[in-house]
Amino acid sequence: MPSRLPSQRDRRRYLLCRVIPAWAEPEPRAVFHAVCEAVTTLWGDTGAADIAPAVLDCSRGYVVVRCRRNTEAQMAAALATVTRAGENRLALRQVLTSGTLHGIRRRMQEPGAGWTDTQVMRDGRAFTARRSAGQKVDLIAEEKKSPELLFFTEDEGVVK
Amino acid sequence: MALEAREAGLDSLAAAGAPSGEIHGVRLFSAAVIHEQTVKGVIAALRAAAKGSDLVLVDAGDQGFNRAVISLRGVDVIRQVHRAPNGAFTHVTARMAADHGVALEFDLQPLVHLRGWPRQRVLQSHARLLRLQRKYGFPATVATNARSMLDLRSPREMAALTRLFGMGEEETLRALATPPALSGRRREGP
Repeated sequence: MPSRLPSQRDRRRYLLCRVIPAWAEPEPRAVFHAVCEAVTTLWGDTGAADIAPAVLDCSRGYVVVRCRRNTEAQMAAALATVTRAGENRLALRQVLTSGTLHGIRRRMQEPGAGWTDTQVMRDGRAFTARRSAGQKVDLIAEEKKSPELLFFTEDEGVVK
Repeated sequence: MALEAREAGLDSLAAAGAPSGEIHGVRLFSAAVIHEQTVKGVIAALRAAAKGSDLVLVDAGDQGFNRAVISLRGVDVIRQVHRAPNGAFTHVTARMAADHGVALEFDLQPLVHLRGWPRQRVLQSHARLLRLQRKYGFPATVATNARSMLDLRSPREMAALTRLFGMGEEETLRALATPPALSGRRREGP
């Protein structure tokens, strides 16, 4: 099928959302279902068809959502009602709305965006220290079956 | 939660039971939430909450209860109006709230968490309250009633949610600025 001319294609808008909490790494499919459910329950089937939601990317603590142009406001309201994706309780905080994916990617690659992982050993156990924007550091145990509450401090860039 | 609030673009939070102060650049207002169902109970709770609280919020009840509570000294905000019985908040109560400077809360929590007809009922209730607010000019607040950072919403998201029942962005921002103003009034005294 020949590709359509740019002037004949649907105008789209792209929304960049930060996943909260930073340690939630939801499946892209689960996020898509959550977004579609939120849009459909809020705006109905005809509204959802008009908005045409799609999840394009779900990585590094961000979700990129696409909608038709002039439906960004409806999409933003629906995204604010997302509370869960699959098993994960989460929220999608809107960061940026752009007309191109280029603008979204540029924002995602800005220094300080997303999170950085550092491996930390403590009492012979491996942890991942996830530093998010806003000076937060979340410590995630590698062994998922035994959650443990840890109190830690950061001294000269080293998590203790 | 304070860090997340700052990230979301909020400069202050009202938290029940928390001491007032500043954490990570976010101003904390100490709020007392009164869940009593009788005016007598509210008066007793108000006496206890008078000291050390920047804001006093009372759950709405039926019309008689609301009228009595609005005229009580020390009540800043009436909350959960959408859960009150039909006709609990009328033009008479609206005029009283405007006269006494008592704010009415638009709760966004049910808009986020509910689905289907329960959410539709909340939207209807909020739209009705907004009509009264525009006509009588009583103060309004917008609250997420967040219990964790997952329930917090940024001002931009709150504006998107309030648009669902017809509130404009400027009105939302004005409503967000109401709690600090009420707290300042309380500190200055009568």
